[in-house]
Amino acid sequence: MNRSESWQVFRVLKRSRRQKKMLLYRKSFHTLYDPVVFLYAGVMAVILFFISLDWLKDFTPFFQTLEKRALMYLPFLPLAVWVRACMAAFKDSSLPFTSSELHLSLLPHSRRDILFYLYREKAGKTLLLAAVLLSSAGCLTPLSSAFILLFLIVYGVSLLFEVWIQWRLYSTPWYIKLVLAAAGGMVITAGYTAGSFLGLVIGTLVWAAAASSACFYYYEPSWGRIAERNDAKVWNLWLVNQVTNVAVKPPRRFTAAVQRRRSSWFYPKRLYDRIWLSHGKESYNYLISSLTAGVLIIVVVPLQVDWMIFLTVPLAAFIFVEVSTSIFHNFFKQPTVFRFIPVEDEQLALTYVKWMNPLLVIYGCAVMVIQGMLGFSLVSSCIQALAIACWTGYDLKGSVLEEMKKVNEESFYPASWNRLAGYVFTAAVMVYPPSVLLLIVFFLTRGGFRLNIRRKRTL
Amino acid sequence: MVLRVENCSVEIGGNPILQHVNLQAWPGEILALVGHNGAGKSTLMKTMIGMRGKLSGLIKIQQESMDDHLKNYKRLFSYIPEEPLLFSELTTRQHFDLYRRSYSIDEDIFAARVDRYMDAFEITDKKDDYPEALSKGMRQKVQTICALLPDVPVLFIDEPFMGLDVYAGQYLEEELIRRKEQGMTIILTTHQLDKVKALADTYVMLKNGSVSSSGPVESFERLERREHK
Repeated sequence: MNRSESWQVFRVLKRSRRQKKMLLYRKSFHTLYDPVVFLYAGVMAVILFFISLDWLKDFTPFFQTLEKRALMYLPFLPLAVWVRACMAAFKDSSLPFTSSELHLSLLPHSRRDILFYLYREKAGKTLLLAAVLLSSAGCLTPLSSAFILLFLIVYGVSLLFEVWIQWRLYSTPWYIKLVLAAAGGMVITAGYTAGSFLGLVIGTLVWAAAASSACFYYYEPSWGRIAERNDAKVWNLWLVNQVTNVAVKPPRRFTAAVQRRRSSWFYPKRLYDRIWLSHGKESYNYLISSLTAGVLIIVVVPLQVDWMIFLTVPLAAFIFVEVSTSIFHNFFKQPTVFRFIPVEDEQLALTYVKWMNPLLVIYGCAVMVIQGMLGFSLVSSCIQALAIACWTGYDLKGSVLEEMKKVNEESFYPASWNRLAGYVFTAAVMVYPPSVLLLIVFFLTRGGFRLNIRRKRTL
Repeated sequence: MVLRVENCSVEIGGNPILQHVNLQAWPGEILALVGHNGAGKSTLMKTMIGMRGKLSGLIKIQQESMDDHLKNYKRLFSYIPEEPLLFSELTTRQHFDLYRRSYSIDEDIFAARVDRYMDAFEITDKKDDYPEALSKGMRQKVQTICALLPDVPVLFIDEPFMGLDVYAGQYLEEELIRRKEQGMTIILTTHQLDKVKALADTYVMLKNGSVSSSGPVESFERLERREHK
């Protein structure tokens, strides 16, 4: 098996991956790539190119200054690129070494060769992209060809090392990356402050020597971890799995971070979070349409008749609470595992409320916007938005807990009159902001946010 | 001698997993690695195929040492892992093609073997399926066929009958015997002692990372009877 045969196998693998990804994306977006769209896009790009060419002529002096300044800072570029690589090495391995490459290296193909192919591909692609972007900049702007070429050479050389540094540093302890990034930052700052070119060059060389030593001495790749992270990245697993329900890889490989936190997901609260997130995604359309309806009620009606805001805001809040409660109720209509295992009811319900509460921000914003348009003062707008958000959150919590009782077939006193009073007070706040005191008193007398639903006494 | 392992020691996280393991296998021999869970069978196998680094020792297939030229060494064996290691981006048929390219298998031999194995393992209708569309047993069959395609002197198999249905298991058993008769050396680990007795010529028993006994499979049966008493 010579090197070229390994290269052929590597190419076959890459081609197959590209084809499958296309297949998955098509499946994901339910679209076919239409050549007509590409044709129109191409024509538009050409038109835009000529328009921008004409438009950019106005910026000639700016680009001339930019070139001079960029030339001044060009010596900083290599170190800046490498420091960026140190920071990126915390999260990304730079070379997309996936589990397939790992499996390939178990066959008669050297892992070193595979890494070299990946390096060549990554550096080549990035360099090509940089060349295209810079050439376009050269064509479109009055930047000189010499400057573009010089920039490309300096960036290209830096890039060749950057990919290597990032790959190696990814498998070194975190403090090595941190120290190198900090040291690089210090060299750049010192070079900038002192304004010494020679000092900067020496500092860059010393830094490069230190980084290379660290890359050699502390490099301990955990191939499994690298492959898992890259699987998630290369395949866009989250997106593909969400849309197609096709498990390209086991779900635990979404990200290594998730895997690290895996043990904590066994706590019931974490489990409830996941359940409600998943249920929320299922009810997405329902939720979005009701939110949109609420926002439209808040914004559109008062634009026609301004005093209607006193009615539309409590009405929108009521709709939100009812829809959220019905989504919560729908969950128990499905045949879920919760019918058979004991769960902490209140915790389950409160977790749902926790996930619904952030949506109130949308209503808050809508209220603020319409009040701004109607000329309300900022202070009263803030008080009213806060009051409506607080009341809606409070009512949602009460309604959801009531619904939980219904599901468990427990008897309780429905808080209908309390709810009505709450909405009346909210409307009052909309009419006259100091009425917020009424709402506060109401909260305090009803037990504040720690709502307890009174159980019916049974004999 | 085809396979030679001398004084092989392996550590994982500072803990010794294998200690001074020695074994030898000859052409046309089926050698079974046996032992309790955690005895080090799979670790030894992974070390022999270069999946896990060793602390010390020598591992050679024919005259090729693992330490000298790993790529040449890897051309001398194929491997069926306990859990199938398939490529997400390849269909069943593409897997076989990748193995053909990797082991430089002759086109005609390859085509005949693929047809025969796909028919025997009943996966002809799955040739264009990706791994995620296959059941665990089907994936195991694909992996098994991949490993059976090349003409290599040594075949390593980790729990070969796990996940295979009765017919596929039976066919694999027959195929292993056929390959053995053609001179292939087969190293297998299994917990199924009846398979060891039916297939293996020799055995190596591992206990706490060391070889506790070895020899012809008949002596293994005697050892087993003695332990029962």
